[in-house]
Amino acid sequence: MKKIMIPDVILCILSAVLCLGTKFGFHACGPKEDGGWMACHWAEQAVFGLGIVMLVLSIMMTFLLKDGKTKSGIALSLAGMAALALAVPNHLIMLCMMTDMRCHSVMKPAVMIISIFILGFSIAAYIFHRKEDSET
Amino acid sequence: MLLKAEKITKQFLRESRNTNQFCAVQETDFTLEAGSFAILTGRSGSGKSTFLHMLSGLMTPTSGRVLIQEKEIYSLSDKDLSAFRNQHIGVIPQGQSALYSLNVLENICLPYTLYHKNAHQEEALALMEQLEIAHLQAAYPSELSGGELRRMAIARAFLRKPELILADEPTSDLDDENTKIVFAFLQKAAREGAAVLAVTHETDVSQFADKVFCMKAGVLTEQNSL
Amino acid sequence: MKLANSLPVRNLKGKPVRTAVLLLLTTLLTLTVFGGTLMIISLKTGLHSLESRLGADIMVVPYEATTKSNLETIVLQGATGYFYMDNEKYQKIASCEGIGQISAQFFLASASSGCCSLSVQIIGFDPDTDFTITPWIKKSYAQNLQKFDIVVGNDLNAFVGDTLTFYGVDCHVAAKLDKTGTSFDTAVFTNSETIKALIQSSVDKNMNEFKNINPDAVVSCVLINVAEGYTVEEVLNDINIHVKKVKAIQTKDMISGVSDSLSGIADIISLLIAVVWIAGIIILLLAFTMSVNERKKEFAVLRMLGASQRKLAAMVMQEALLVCLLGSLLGIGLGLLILLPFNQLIEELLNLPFLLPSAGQMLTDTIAAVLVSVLSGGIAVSASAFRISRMDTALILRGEN
Repeated sequence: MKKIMIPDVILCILSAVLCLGTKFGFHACGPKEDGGWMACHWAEQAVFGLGIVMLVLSIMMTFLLKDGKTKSGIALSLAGMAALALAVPNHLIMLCMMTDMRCHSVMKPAVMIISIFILGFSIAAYIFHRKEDSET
Repeated sequence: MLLKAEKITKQFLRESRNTNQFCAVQETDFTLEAGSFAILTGRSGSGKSTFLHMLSGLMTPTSGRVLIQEKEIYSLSDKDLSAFRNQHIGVIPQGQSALYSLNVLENICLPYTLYHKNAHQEEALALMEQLEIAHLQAAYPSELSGGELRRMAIARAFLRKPELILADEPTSDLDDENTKIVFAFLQKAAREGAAVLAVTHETDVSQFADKVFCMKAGVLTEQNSL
Repeated sequence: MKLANSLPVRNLKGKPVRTAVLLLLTTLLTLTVFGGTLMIISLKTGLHSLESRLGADIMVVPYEATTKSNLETIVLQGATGYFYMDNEKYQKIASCEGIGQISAQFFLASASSGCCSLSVQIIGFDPDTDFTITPWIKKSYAQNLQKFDIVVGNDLNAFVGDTLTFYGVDCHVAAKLDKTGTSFDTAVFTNSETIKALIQSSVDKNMNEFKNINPDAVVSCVLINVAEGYTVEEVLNDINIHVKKVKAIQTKDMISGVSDSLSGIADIISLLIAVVWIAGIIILLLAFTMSVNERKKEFAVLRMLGASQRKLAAMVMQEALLVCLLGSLLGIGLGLLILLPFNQLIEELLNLPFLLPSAGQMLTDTIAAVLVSVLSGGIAVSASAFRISRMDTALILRGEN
């Protein structure tokens, strides 16, 4: 059971992409001229925070933990967090006024796509680890 | 008279020069009765395989006719000839003949599955039992030894209980023990009513056969064996 | 029964690397065909949408609006700005010959407000005479707008029931418009009564560039549809000659710049599709030829076991079509995954009107793309399928030993 599962590794990569990408790649709109932030910045921060926790959890699941039950629990929590990340831009935290701004046109779709993939792979990982557990 | 070849010849064009024709098999008559086991020997390049392929319906002779069960096989359409071969002729080819993406049992059942028929797995398993490869049914060809692969090809050729079995050097890469197993199996098939023709290099297997033929430079002669 | 049907499937599974490469190829092929055509269609839909939004033959604006190239950036690129001319110009224009429909519009740009650093273009129309904006608004909002009601463009992150404040005046969002893929998506629309109040408030707060204007005595632009029996050029010239300090512009000319760059991009995309398609077919042709050559012996064995020429050809064909079908579905999935969420980004990068077509048209495009790539696969494999069915079985059975 020490074999490293492919969905787990993909989850690590996707979580890393989510938290690093929101900060440096597909970040939200920049600061205003007076130095203040627009609403979308807080959505970016929230996704970044979620991403860090997801990265830590997925690394634990992939490389550190051995027990199938624990792993499947982590996979489930990753699924929940992905759903949360999916809802953050523009639903839980409003983005900017115009949808042709960067937070709408770049950050929101990128976060959405990555979150959907994390959701899918974490459900797959959950199923795998459940099976793994019942086999032992 | 199960198999009858009338004056079949085969000529090939050699190289690119049209004038240089090479006669692989000279005008040959040949008959094989149901229930008999014939062996065909000869040196490499003497035309044995060509002869065998003409009998199996895989190679149209330059002239002459091949009749199986009174049916002239080369007058059939490709579709009918293929179906006829599938049902009435079991061919065991030279060398490897496995489909590597299928497991052993699936390989053996191919003659049925090609025609969308239900795979007769019990019959296949019985054949495998006789050839001592039943334990390999779920294995893949890449995991098998040469002897096991050859026995797989034999089981496949016999699956549809064909009236005619044509084997092209079925034991070329096998050790003595495996060779004996194969020839004993072919002999048994002949005893049960099939007509069997085996091309071989082996010299000490004539004991299994009813007739021994020899091919030399495209000319077939019967040897008075035993 | 099951196995025979799945023999092509088993062959594909048996060679995962080869299958993956073929899949990747067909995926890319479909992605370019599908994505490319969808982009062209979206650009054309966008242009069409822009045309119908402008919806008038002639636009008359104050002369200084054209010299500052204000007008085009407002109408075509979604920049904000405003300009005014005296109401009497409107009366003069209306008295020109050949005017069919005529209506005035009023522009204002909101000051950057607390939430956003960008200002919003506000367009006011006269509900009694308007013929361009009202039909569009009616699609989303059937009632008449009351004072301080506004209708927001689709790209504004505001929803029905929200309150937006412009120059200290609270406005109520009565409706949200359908997406047009043009600069109008970021604008706010309201009736003349409301916008006059907003202009007055901006003047009162000393935030309007035009210091001392009387909102009741000005208009920003005049839209005209030519009456029957007159050509657009005649009316245009008539206005430009008889009314001073204004400029009448044929809207067709305004759009021509857009449609020129649009057809340029459409040409490039078409070329790209053609190149990828031809290259794709050639690569598939080579790939299938190689794969069939490599498996000659396998096919010879099947032939020996009684597969007819037609059966073998069908098998090779099925394998190829299966790969192409799967690959094309993947390609379409990928294309949708890129184009749907990022269509706003594409619109900005292209700086052209860009409107995704309706679901129905998208479905047609999808089916067409699948057909094209499956057909390409079929064409690419047909030579191999023919060759394999005509091969010299006996020679192969023997030769490779």
